[in-house]
Amino acid sequence: MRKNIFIILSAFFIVTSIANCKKEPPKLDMFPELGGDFTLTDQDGKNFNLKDLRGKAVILFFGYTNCPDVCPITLAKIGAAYKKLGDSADGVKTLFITLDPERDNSQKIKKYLSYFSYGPIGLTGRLEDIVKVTGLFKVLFVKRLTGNTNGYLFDHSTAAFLIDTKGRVRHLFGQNDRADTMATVIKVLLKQG
Amino acid sequence: MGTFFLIATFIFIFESCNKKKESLKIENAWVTESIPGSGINAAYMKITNLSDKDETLLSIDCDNFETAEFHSMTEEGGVMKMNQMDSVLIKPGAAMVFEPGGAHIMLLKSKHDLKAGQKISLNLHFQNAGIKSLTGDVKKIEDEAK
Repeated sequence: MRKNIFIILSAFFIVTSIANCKKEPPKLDMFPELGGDFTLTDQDGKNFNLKDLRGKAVILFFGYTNCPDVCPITLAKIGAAYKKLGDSADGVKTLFITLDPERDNSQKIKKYLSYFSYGPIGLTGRLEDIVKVTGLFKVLFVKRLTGNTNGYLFDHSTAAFLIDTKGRVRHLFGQNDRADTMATVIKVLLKQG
Repeated sequence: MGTFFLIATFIFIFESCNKKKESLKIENAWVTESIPGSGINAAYMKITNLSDKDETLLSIDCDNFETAEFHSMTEEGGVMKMNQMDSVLIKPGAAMVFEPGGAHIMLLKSKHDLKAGQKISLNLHFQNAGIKSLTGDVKKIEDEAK
């Protein structure tokens, strides 16, 4: 009998411990080795500087318009995060920097991004300027010939950088992060300013 | 009356035995809506090998696209690498899942842009099962992102 009570109490203790064990809140960090201001050309052919977005939270993602899977999915996931943010989404801007300036000129990027309802800003430029920006964010990309009608593709870093209102990288979203996780982290950042 | 039931039962048993068991199960086939300026679409589905033999997916063709390729995705140090697969081996009882962010079927050079809500025919060529034709839904990727 005493043994049974002990088992029941232990089980109760384990269950309540699990219930009380709250999920860790998303963490914001400082990444002094990542980021910095840069100038590239936006989808309207105008100069764009990251400084232009001071006061906004920024999601920065590198990709290319001929990307079949990861890039459109990441852009779509960011869109889903915007929907979860509701009115707070006004304080967030998304930047899509092409890794393929050879094919992705301003017009092409504009056409491509018009598909995504939340109005991401597309950036292109000379390859050497883009390489400088990838260097700032330690983004790797390798062009690979495919031999198919697509010509070539890129192996590339898939992290999306969350930048605060002062232009500092505060979080890196990975491929496995879901839209609701992204929205939660962005909300924390917006609260902190 | 008794004879009638006897014959009907025999026909039922004969038909049941004669019915060939499906060797493949193909589920949730869908294709991404065309993104302007991209020219590339992706197809996703789950293919389960219900047979007791290895099965190989050799190729896919679709009237709306010039070519289709199978791609696997591997992540190494935060870098996503995409590799073309000549064919896809599916072991007995196993499933091959083509899904967003993972292995996918790349559809190249579309003849017409695809719109969400449309249906699209795909022909899958298997080594043992031959050609399996199916219809996939065209979906907006933004609606599928979770």
